[in-house]
Amino acid sequence: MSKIAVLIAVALTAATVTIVGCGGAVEQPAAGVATQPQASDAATAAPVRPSPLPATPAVTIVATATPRPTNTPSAAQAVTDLGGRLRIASVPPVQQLVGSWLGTTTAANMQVRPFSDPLIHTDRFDGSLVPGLATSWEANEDGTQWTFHLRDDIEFQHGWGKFTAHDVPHSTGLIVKEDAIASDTGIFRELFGNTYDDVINNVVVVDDNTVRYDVQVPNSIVDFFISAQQGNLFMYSKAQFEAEGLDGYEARPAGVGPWQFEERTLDVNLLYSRVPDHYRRSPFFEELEWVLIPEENTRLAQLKTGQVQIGEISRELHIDAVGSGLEVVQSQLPSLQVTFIIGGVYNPEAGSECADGGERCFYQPDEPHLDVRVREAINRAINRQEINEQLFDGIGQPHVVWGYHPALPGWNSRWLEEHEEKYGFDPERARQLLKESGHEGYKVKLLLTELPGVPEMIPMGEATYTYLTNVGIDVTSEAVEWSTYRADYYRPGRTHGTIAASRGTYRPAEITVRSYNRSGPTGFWRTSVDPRTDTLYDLATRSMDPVVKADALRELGDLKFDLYSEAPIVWLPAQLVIDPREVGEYVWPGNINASFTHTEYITPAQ
Amino acid sequence: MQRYILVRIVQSILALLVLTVIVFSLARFAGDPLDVLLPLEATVEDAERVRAAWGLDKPVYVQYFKFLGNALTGDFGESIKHRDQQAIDLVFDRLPNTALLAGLALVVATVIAVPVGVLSAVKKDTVFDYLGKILALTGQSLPAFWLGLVLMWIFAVNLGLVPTSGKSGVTSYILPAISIGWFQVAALMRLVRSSMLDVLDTEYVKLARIKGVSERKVVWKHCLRNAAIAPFTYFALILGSLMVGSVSIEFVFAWPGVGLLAVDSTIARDFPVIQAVVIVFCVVYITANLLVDIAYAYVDPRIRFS
Amino acid sequence: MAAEDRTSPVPAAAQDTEALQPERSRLSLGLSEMRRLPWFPVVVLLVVLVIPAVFANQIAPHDPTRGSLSSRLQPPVWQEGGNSEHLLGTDKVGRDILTRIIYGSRISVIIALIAIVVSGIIGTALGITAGYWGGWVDALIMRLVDISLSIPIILLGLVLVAALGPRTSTVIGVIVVLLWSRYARLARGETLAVRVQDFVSRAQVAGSGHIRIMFKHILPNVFNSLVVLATLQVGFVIILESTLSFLGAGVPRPNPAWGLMVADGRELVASEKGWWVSLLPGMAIMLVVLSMNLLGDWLRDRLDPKQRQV
Repeated sequence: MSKIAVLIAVALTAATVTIVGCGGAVEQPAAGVATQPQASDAATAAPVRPSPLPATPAVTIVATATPRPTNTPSAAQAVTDLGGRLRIASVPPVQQLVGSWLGTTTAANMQVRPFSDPLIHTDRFDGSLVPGLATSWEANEDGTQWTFHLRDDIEFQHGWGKFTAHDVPHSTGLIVKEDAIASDTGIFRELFGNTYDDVINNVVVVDDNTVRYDVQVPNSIVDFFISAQQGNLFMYSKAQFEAEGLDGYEARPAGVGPWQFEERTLDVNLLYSRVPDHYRRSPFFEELEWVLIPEENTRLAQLKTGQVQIGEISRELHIDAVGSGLEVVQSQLPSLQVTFIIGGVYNPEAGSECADGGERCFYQPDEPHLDVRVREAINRAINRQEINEQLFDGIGQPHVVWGYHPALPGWNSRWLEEHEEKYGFDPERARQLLKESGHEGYKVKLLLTELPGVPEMIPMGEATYTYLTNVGIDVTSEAVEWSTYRADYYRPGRTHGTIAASRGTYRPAEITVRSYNRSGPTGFWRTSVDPRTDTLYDLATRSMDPVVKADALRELGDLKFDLYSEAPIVWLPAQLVIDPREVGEYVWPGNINASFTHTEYITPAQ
Repeated sequence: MQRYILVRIVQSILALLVLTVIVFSLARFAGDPLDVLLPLEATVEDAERVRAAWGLDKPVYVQYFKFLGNALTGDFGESIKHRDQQAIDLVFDRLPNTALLAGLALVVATVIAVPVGVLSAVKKDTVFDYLGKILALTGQSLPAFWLGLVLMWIFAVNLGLVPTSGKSGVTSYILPAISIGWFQVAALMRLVRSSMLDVLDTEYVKLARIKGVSERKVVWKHCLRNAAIAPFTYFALILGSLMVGSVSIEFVFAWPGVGLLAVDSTIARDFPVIQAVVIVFCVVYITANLLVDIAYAYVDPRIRFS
Repeated sequence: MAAEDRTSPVPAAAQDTEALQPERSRLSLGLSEMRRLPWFPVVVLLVVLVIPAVFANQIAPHDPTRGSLSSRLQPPVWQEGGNSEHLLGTDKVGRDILTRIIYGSRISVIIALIAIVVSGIIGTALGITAGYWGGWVDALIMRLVDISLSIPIILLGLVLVAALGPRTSTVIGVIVVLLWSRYARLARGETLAVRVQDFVSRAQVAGSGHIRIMFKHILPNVFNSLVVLATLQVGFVIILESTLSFLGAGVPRPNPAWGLMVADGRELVASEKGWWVSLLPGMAIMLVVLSMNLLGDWLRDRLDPKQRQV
């Protein structure tokens, strides 16, 4: 029996190897250079908002971002026939929702944005805030009153009547509902009021086409928070709410977007149909369908077999996708920032919660990470260039200070100049620093988390495991979900002795500081290398003077840079794989929470 | 007899009660859904507000009895992840998809396992026996998710014979059913084989042979019919493992079934849905087992008294 | 998978009565039978599983958890671009796959061994008790078996990992929860058959204690079946581990568990650029599980009386 068994087993295994291992030869795609977006010349009524500067050019293997055509929208004029159903294979969002107050901005951008619009829109080429439902807006001097002038020619879908200023406080109020869990619920409650009723009072309907936000705490980027770039506040019909309640939204939400909601099957798909004569852009496809597929390979398989036309595919498979005639496109702007957060860096002067016997005890004096030399050693041990080239196909841009980008307010060009000198890969120096600090061979737990948009997070973490071990740090690694992280490390204030991979989106630096460096309750990590952090944060958030604001942010960035508060790795654009036989052009900014927005501008292949 | 059935039913209900406690604690043990669903920036106050709004702030035992009371009427509460959706509806919406897939997988398994099992019993130690065994064992030697992926690449992408994933036409059932079913072949084959060997050895078959009934008829008619009873005992077990096998396969093939729902709701710590899924699984399993036992009691009176 | 045990809970009891004789007990393979040991599975198991597991430190060419990104995704030596530094190529992080497979065998062996021994002991003890005592003890234990079998095991794994984080001990615990009931069912069935036999009654008459009877008279008679079941389950445990890894509930990184390797490399399974990352550990799993099953089938042919008679 055994002889035959061997033969068969060998034959079987050999067959498997042959079938799987010997696919068609993949052609190495030609190298190209991503074109940087140009500065926006669109004048807006907004307070001064610096437009993105050209950043360091990114050399890419497969992806290109579409250059800005001189006449927007370029492809639009060329389109003669509408496409049929545009199917996009996507990772299932954390929350499947039609109410934007029920989930993160990422979930809302995907599912709500097609059928409804925010007051302020974003330019698909440079990501700047541009008029949407609001044609113009202005703020008073101290940033406590923001007035928006609305279009008066907008109708809600499904016959729910005209969009007016009355819908604005209603839609804003939904975000702070007692069971709301939107990303912005916290900041909205801080800015506009704690309950639906408070918000109705604070968001004043001046007339049918004018609405004024009376802000509780002065804030210089209120327009950002209610804009499409943040992406939680979309317009819902007050009339529908009064007639049908939230159940009506659940069944058939009426919005003012370029698509209208048709139906959804949980965990399967969401379907929208085209709205003709939309005020911004009527889609070039009759229908839009998000096809939810959790497994990476399966999304690629769907693309290859033409079952979907666009798909989220990890960079590792781009070569295979391109080899079979698909194309990789990337967002106009960087979309994600990737970093390692060094745990336990709390500032005793920011107030230790240990003192009142509370659950959380952030400041622990014996934490090795409190020593700047240890933090520098960690930064020195990591080979960013290798990570970018090997894991990200070289498309990444240098990331110097967590939260900061050359195109965002508060940037300091010194950081990039000194980057190599202060953060360059130097394991020898790292070992030396550890020795000097007396923390040679200290124990650290490297927390690896899979996060949407960066499937390379795990391999990056595993490579970093090697980097850190190489300089003599005693590393153990653990894969954790974010929620577990929150429950086990953050909530009890036990980030001591950990290094965790994290990602953030492209947004004003103060928002990253708010989540990561501030000592207040919104500080997720409370990494504070200097007692000035909170003061500078408050100044930056409140000042309506762009110069003061940028200076405060820059000073904050200087502290973070010089004191190695995190170990930033890379800025990445968002990437998608498209089927060029079906899809012509897709231009999206990518700065909107890394979401795939502006689907109404996607053109069919001609 | 009636007493036996009654006792077994009562036992099963008690088992289910114990299960509710286990499931309830397990689901709570998994962690706090708010840690998953709340945004990064949420403060402790935010968490408390939502907790109260969602009714998660009551003491655990209160939650348990509320859950138990409602569960008896089929109400498992609203999903935490999908607000406004009844947990039990989510499960029942998908149950047919999973059941159909499991049924087809069972067909696949049977179609391969029965002939192979019979042949390897009758033609022991021949090429048929080995070939059949290898075929059966291969399915059991690969992780189902991996087999599913490889099958998808070969038959859906390279050959383009079937859709890659999702539930669409009849053809979309083929790959997932094979991926789940193949794994069961080996176990089923062993059952068929050993019970065939049992039957082949009985006086009654010997008698048939003596009487000159053709070998083919002996094997395929007399023996198989009798040998089929033993695998029936395992119906519940196999059903259970089919349901479990479906989890990773539903994930691979983006199949809108209970398995995928189970994974999702566990990741989201969506208690009501986790509880509904597990309880439905358990009810199905325990009922199947109960029915098998009762059927056996009818067939074989000795059981009632043992 | 659920039904490796041939003996059905009760009906088989009667059938087995004549077949099981006390003399046939214990793991008694004659020398002539040992000679007929199927060499393919045995050699495979030695080469792929046992030797690597024991001598991993000596034979592995590289470090199993560390690699260099610059040497990532190198193909195996026989492919273009491969080199003899990494005979089976490297993974996404540049770690040597051969090394990881070698060290992975150790993890597989440890998990399988602990899980099977623990669940075997628990299951057998409960199964024999149930079969021997009958009545409410039997009912209680069998309903426990029902409960354990009806909990969807993958879910249990996910929940435990969510609560405790991915740990090898969690994986083992989950597997034990699933497996003990198989032994219990089998042991109970066999015990029912053995209990009614003369030698048991004689022992009872002679005044032996219950524990002694269970240990001395019943256990040896059910042992063979348990060994067969255990052999067949080694493969199942390895597969289960990999499925748990696939769903993110398996052995923690950067441990080189086979299942984790297969799961991690799966998106490259059809890629020219990295099919070996998942396929080669997959082959290791397949070879071991196939061999374990062949060996199990062979063992059951030798140890199972029914097969002997045919």
